[in-house]
Amino acid sequence: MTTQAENEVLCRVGAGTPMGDLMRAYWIPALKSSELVADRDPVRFMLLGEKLIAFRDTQGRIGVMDHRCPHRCASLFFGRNEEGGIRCVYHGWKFDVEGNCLDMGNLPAHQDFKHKVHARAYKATERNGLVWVYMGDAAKVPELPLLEATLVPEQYMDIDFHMRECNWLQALEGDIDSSHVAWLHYGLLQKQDFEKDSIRKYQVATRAPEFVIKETDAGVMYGVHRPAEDGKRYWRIAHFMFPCWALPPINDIEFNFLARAYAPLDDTHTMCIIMMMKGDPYKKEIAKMPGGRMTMPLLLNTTDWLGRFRIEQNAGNDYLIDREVQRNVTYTGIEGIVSQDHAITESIGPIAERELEHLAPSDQMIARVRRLLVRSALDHAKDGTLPKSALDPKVYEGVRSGQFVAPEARDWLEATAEKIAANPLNYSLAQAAE
Amino acid sequence: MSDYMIDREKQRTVSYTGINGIALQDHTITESLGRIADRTFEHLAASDMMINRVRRLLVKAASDHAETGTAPKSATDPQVYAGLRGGQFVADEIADGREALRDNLAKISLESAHALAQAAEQTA
Repeated sequence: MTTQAENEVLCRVGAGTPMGDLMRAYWIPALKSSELVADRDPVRFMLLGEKLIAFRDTQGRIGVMDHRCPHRCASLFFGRNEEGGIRCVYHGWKFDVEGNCLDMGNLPAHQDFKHKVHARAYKATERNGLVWVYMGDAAKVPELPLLEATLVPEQYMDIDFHMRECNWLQALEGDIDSSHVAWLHYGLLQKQDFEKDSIRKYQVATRAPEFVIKETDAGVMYGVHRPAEDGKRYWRIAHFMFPCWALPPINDIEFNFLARAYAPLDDTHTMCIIMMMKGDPYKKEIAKMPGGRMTMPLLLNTTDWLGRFRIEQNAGNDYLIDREVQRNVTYTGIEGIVSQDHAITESIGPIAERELEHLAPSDQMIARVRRLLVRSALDHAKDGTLPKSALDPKVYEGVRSGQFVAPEARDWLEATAEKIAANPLNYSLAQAAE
Repeated sequence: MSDYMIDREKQRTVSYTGINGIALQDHTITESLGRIADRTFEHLAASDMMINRVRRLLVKAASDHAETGTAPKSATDPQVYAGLRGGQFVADEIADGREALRDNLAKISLESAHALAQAAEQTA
């Protein structure tokens, strides 16, 4: 069971908290590249409990910094994104993307001390349409992780953001919780509702699967197995990866280039970033089923701290649950697979009260990930020890989730490794391009 | 969130802030500090010496009052406000600012100040 004290470690992400400081040792995905246009409006956002602004300068470089001007704390959100930097409108101090003060125009030359003042800027970079922010020790900036989904060129990927009004971990736990799929999402579906050659059907044939778990250099992986036909097993392999990534096994492992990040905005708001291949076969198959809509209608973005990528179906309208549909057609009455996840993880409350839980064997992956997270955060707080994943971007290389059918006696780790090795990212991308 | 109706296009091309109105600009920027400014985050400059001096005086006056009940003179003597005024003027470069201020204040009665303001309005 997870104690209240452990839950505090898991859920608090502000600066100076054990988990907040561990997260700050990693690059965190935060914005879409398309949100930032050179010399245009700065974007207000939150990450790890800090109020930040992001802007793109004249050269296209991205600046991410504490929204407060280091002079007298006026918000740089109202600043002018001018040639090569942002200028605070209060007294005209101007900062480049690295936080260097370029101009201190309200002071006579002999009193100018611009070389001594820096805005609190964080490292920012972008790859394939995603902007990442590093908020840790500037002397120890790691490389971006070699996570497959983030290496796929933008034209092959859909990158969708939506915000959840709950703590990051309970949102993520929905993605390392294989047995919920056959209930929350497929509760009324039967084998024959799936396409003839789809192996997803084994999930509804056996709604109570068995689990095996293994720690990896990047986090924790698990395999969930059920009987398939002819003495074979249907496997679903999935990963938790530091600091806030989940790889759910929604497609065949040969080409399942997807990842989901649960980036904490603060303790009770999370940006879910879903990266999927365009034309994903899972999307196509599930979208045809009742309640299986794969899109997430969004409200218009606002400039509020938490105003980006809010979904139409929310706690205020009970996620547009249709009780008549729930009685007769779909298991939840809530339209959309991700909306169902959204509803159920928010329904737990802003921060899950984990001492009220009764974990079952089907939650063993969740329990294992929590233990690893608590241990890693406390070790880091104690003496600065970091998980390997914070230091070596290669531990993410070739890590992939996915489903397959294998002979009953086949070792799950061997089968997984063999299938991924036979279908490396470059090979599959070449196929996608054809 | 109306963001004080900031017009980014105007900010880029016409006005410095894109916020319409002098008092609204002050309103915006002082509210943007947050409900209570985190002054540990600041880097005060020479241009902030007045602010710094006022803060020191306020801290001292409040602490003195809390400790011993001593109130600043202004709390007991309404006369200390008499004849105090803000304003701008042009003077000889060598003039002592405070002397010039005293001279200007001494010269002008309330009636004549009103007349001066009206005249300035008509020329403007």
